[in-house]
Amino acid sequence: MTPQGSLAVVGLGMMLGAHLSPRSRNHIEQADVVFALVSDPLVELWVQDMRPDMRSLQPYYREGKIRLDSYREMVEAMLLEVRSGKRVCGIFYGHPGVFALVPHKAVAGARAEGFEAVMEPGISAEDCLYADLGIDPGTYGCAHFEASQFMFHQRRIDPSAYLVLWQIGIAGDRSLSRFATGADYRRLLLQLLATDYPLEHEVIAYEAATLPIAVPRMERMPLRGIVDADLRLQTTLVVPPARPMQRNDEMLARIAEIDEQLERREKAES
Amino acid sequence: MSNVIRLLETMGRRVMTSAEFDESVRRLEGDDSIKQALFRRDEAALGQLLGARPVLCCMILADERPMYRSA
Repeated sequence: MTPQGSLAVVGLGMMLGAHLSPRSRNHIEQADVVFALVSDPLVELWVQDMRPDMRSLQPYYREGKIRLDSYREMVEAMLLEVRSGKRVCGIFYGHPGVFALVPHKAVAGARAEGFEAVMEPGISAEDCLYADLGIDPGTYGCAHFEASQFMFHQRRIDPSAYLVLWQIGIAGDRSLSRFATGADYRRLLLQLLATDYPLEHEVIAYEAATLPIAVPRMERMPLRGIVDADLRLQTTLVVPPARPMQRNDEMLARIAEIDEQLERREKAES
Repeated sequence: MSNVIRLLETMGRRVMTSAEFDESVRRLEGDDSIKQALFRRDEAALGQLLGARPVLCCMILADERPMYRSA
């Protein structure tokens, strides 16, 4: 028999009032217990207005505390209520499954223990970024990385596609316990990017608007400017393509061979 | 507080002209400083006046592999 408790993690979207789906709202209204982790203080008040009994997950963060410990505690707080037979809703800003460890862990954990668990998508910062900056990821391609992970691993950068680096404000943080890193770390990131991009190449510091009275931040600067720029927790760095896409003539020739073979076969059969 | 949050929610749900926004703010009951913060579109002041948390942490992603982590 399926245990009674259940979990729904839902995305609020980025902007207060603008992005919440009817289905996610229903989860919020129907749940016995509601937890929330949002990106804007006024958005948190909005959630509180919908559910005055909402439990914020913010107190689990503390500068100097390893974030993985905070995340484990957040997941455990939600699962504890699921195990006690409650309908639990975890509310997260943006899309709960995009660049978000906690909602994925909570859903996987609940399912592993035999409980029903669902994730409802939301409008992510990435979605807002495409709309605000007028970027179609299909035009040149688009690679997304968490900034620190991008620095820690050897990646193949394609400068003919967009490159988007998330959590740029803590780029290079190995401790997982800081709320900001500084110019020295970003200087290393600059060196890494400079192997593929000119220092004067224009990049964009982006922050989605979280209130309908606000506008998104779309600050353009030369790549070299990232060292001293005001890059915060919520800032994303967008690096547009720096060179045209290169034709893959070898692949095109091999595709043409297959096309010709197919044509010959079709002619022979007709 | 709820009136202000509900106004923001309404603005999120539908596009308001500047005139509609001005009128909606003027008709709000309560503290004049909140209305002024709305007119200035001053998010920080609004948050403070409504008793919101001063800062929210919004990172929910981290590499779980310990190999690069400092002590």
